[in-house]
Amino acid sequence: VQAVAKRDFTLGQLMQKRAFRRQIGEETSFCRLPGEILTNIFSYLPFKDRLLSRVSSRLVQIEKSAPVLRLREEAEYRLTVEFLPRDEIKITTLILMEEEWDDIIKEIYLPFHSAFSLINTKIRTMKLKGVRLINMGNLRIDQMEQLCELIPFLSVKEFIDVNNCFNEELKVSQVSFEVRRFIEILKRNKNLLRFDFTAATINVTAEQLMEIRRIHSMLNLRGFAIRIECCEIDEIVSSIFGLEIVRDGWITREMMESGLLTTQRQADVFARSTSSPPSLFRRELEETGEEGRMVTRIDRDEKNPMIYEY
Amino acid sequence: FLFPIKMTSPRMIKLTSNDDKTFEVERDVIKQSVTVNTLITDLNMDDEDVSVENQMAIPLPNVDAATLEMVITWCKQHREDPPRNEEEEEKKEKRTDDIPEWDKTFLDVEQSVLFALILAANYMDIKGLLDNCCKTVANMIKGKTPDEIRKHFNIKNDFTPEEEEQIRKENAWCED
Repeated sequence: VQAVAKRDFTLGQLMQKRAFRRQIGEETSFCRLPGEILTNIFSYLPFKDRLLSRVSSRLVQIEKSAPVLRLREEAEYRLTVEFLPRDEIKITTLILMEEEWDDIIKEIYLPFHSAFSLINTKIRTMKLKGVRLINMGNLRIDQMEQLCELIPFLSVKEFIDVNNCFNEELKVSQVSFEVRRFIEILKRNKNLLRFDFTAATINVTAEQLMEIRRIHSMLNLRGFAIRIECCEIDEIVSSIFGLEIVRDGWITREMMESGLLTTQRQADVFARSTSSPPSLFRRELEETGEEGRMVTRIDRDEKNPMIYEY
Repeated sequence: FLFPIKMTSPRMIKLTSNDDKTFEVERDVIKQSVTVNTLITDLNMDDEDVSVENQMAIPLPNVDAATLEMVITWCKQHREDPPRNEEEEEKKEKRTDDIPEWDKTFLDVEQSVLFALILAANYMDIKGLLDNCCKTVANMIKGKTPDEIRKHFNIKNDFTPEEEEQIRKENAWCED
């Protein structure tokens, strides 16, 4: 009965729905291709060709993957360079709008050395104006040392996001060692005002996080932030703070006041060197009547929970 | 003794294009389309008791007859391909010089046809065809200047001269 009902009801409709979801346009010109296809095409292009193709048209530039996003004067480009475990570098071009941001070109992969060489050359010759953020996720310590050589050549506005540095296989003593090394390397770079130190990622255990926190407080790194990003966030945060997380997604202000938690959003705001929060947050503050008060919310995406600060 | 041998004809599936043309295609051939394959499975259309004459045709509202015919031809050509392991595919180096010769010739068509094929492959979720189409387009872009890209794909330059200058400046470093 179920099969019959399903068949009667869904055959045509299913396909129509799928057609709608696929956002297939009537015209079949290059610019009319859906964003996901343009992304697929661009993924086969060398970096240079991808950037050059961006210059061709506004439509191609935004890949139509986020139709809401149109190139506006206030848009700001960021080239994010992320280091992956397989000795590869992922370069993502982001378009940053006043209120929202989304990636327009996703994931091209280069071996570490060729990407480093490219970035190195370009930054040193001051031609890489587009780099606003370097995300050093998954970076090995030796790679990080290499990259840190470049920091003096970046603008003081840059911040560095160090995430996925740790995994559960690291012993606590190794964590301690790695944290110290990371911090020392970063402290050597006077141009760097701040970095966002994501201590906990998906695989970090509560015990490791405790050690990171201990070193963090011992070194009295004022101005340096730790962002918590972890699937087991309830357990970890509870274990550190002895607090219960409010189940509707809000956590207590005490957590923020401990000075340990900051957020990607905060880092973003910082990176943009603006003293006032983006209008999106400002509006939300006004709507919730929370102006002037620091509140924090957990986005309970099971795969990638984030703490947002308003 | 002679035993009667049961001759089993291949299971056929009916597909209807958006211009109402119906194609009969072997089940084994069209299984490369994840969309169609999932539908067939979900809707129990593999029931051997239902003859092809009585079978409901699967409507493909985003694919015209000419494109569907090409898709079927491609699927026939690739029916013996081993099943794709998406994890492995993800790990593979992204390259465009590995398009099979048959596909190169097959995809050497007018842009509008190629784009229609891309859309159909995307809609029908035929990853192999989609990838080879995308690689073909990527090969068309490779090594071209923005002007050449515009000309090749008939893309309207919708930047103002100031905007274009700004973007050129931003990307000047890659034009060395």
